[in-house]
Amino acid sequence: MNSHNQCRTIALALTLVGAAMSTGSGSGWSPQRVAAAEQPQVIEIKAKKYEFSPSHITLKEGAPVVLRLSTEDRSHGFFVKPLGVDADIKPGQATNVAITPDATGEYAVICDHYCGLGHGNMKMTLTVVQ
Amino acid sequence: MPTRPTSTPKRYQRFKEIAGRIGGAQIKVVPGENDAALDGGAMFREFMGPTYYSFDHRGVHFVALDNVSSGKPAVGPTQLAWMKADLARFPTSAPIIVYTHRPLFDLKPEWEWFTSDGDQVLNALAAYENVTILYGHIHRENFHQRGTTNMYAARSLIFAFPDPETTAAKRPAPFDKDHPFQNLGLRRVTGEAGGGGELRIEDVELSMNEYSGTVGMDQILKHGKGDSVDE
Repeated sequence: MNSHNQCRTIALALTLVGAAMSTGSGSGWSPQRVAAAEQPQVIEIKAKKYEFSPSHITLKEGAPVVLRLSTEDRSHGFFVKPLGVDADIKPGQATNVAITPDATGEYAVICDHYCGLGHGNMKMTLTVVQ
Repeated sequence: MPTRPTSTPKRYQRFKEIAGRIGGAQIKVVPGENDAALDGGAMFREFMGPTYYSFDHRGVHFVALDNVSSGKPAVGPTQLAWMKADLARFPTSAPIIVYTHRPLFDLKPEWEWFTSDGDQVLNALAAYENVTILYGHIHRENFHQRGTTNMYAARSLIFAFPDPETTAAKRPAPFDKDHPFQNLGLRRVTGEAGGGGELRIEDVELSMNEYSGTVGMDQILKHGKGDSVDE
């Protein structure tokens, strides 16, 4: 199955949580918008020209997580087409992306907000396991 | 404070100087992301004019779209509304050529070879029966068809990208000094005056012969050693 077909089989409970909710304590998490009742794991991801740190994360199928995105230098993007994620990361504020992956696989995450000559290779990998 | 784009005034001036030597042709350009994504297209507009526009030439309507200067791979609602209004005066049979930097369809999203609102552009164009779209960005040939709309990318004049269907990593094809123009080149598009009929697409091979012995060719063969600094 190629990645394109795989994309179509994925249904994610996805919530993009606005930056205003996430700045400060991070208490803006809205549990009723996520399928699972448990508190989601929060994973910090930092962006800067031209890399994400960490460059690889592993998520568990069916387990809700919040990806807390921040940038150290300028605006970046966080784009995962198969998961329907297209978030902006702006300096001075965190962006929370809440997801509950329900299909295993390996997904490429790219910066889709042009940030300079090395922008084309700014990426990371998100792996979903059982 | 706007960030400085990769392109520079000196490069724009040099391009205009070289392109100005092409006799008998109108030079029409659209920005790539390295030209316009960091400053919202300000420097491009200063040297080259609007980042999107339209004009008529010999019975064909041309539409230039900007899907880079917002910083994201997108055309945006303002430009989309402008394009719809621009096309509204034409019958559905009108020959239309759209040219833009990024592909308007999902060619390889994980390589950023897409336009996020490209579907809206293509849906707006779907009402017209004779639409050709020309695009760049991917540094390789490509053909894609949706309905009656044909989309073409030509080879690049600089580093070629590999086939995304058979290559995992997005890296330019390695330079081969024995075949410096491999996978590079020009594409000439010609059509009938007054519109109608198929466009004729010709690949133009580059050759070392014309440039052998020049400083530029020596630089290529030395893998760029001794390149002049232009800024």
